Amino acid sequence: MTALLLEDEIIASNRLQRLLAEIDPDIEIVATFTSIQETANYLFEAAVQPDILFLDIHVLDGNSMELFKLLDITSKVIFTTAYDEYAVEAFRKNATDYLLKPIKKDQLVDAISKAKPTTKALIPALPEEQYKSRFLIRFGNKIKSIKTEEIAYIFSKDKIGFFFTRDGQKIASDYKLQDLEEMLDPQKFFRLNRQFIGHLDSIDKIKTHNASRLLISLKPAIDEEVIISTERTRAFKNGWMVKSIHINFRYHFNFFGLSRIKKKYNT
Amino acid sequence: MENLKSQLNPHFLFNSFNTLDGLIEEDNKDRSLSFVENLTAFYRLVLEHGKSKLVSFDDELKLVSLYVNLLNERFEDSIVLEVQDTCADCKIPPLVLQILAENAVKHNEFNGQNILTIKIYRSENWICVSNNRRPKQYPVASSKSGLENIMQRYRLISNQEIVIEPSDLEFIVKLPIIYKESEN
Repeated sequence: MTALLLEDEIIASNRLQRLLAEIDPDIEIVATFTSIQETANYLFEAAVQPDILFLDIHVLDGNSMELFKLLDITSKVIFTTAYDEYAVEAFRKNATDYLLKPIKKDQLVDAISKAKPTTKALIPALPEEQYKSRFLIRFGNKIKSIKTEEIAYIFSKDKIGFFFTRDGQKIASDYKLQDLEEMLDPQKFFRLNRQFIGHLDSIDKIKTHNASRLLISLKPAIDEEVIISTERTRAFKNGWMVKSIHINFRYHFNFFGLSRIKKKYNT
Repeated sequence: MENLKSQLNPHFLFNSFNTLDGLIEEDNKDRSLSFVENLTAFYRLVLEHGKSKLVSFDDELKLVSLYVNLLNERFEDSIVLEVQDTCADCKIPPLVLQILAENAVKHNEFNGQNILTIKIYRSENWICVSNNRRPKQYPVASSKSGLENIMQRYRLISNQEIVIEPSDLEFIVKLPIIYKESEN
């Protein structure tokens, strides 16, 4: 079993590590941190989240409950605190257990047994989430969390992936479009061209542009021309647009144009 | 005034017990003893001062120094309290300096590399309490009850306003000096 410790007091951290070693030598402490920032960075980059997170509530850069706003946490969480009158509600929502400091050994034993992964044979494995439900974007030394449903489109320029949200925010990230394409549900997001991935709902108007291309207006509006490249146009019309019949069409499909493209592909 | 005493954060007491527990566990007899001594002295002053409307400024300096001392045991000496001026003939409402120090600790991020410096000094007719700012990145909403409490007490006691001067680098609270003879 793996565990991560967030605790900004060295004495308390040492105590917890010692108790864990005494209780179960198989618990591997993969990381110890003193700040929310470091913890978020670690979890953000970790391929697999540790089995248990021990989170001190008040740490040097804030309240560790904020982690739940930044990340999807799949680990079991055990909060630790010396005293907190408001925490109970939050515990109920997010935690497997909480421990009052100084931590007592028998209480820690209980908490760990609650957090132990249940025998896998008894519970059928849940299918893993296929697409991302939120993205974490770093700016400076902060992390911003964007829910996937808030994304209107993503625009890539000079190796920067700009997330445009439905409410008009523009947030720079280092995500690459080709990676994002795999993280986003193709039923909702479409790779428009080399620079854009757009959500279905962000397509405002469609016009023909040259015979084999489409010119798209996005909402919120952007100052760039969005032209669906020839090779994407076919997929766009055939698959994606047609499937997404609930869209409010302001554009009538130029099926003539489509057949011409087909012809071109056939030759 | 009862109200004021009960405002002293219970977190502080529980955190102190936790710190003490750690010191004992690490077999640190001298530090454990001096921690208990300071904690006792601090609470004694809190209870004594809490009975009055105004107390001697220099006594409040003692109280806040003890407070910072206790915190430094927990935060490994990452808080520096610089008292630049004392004022034998000044009075101050009780626990004001402690509340301002507590606010500085509550709202800022600090550690061994980034020291929190709290300064207390006189400037004209003010007692100023300042701290360097490095706001917590993931804070919880503040009730502002500490500053509010100080503001109200100055209005009530001396009919004067405190001045709050926040900037990017520093947070300064200016308290009007109340001289001993003006007390009624």
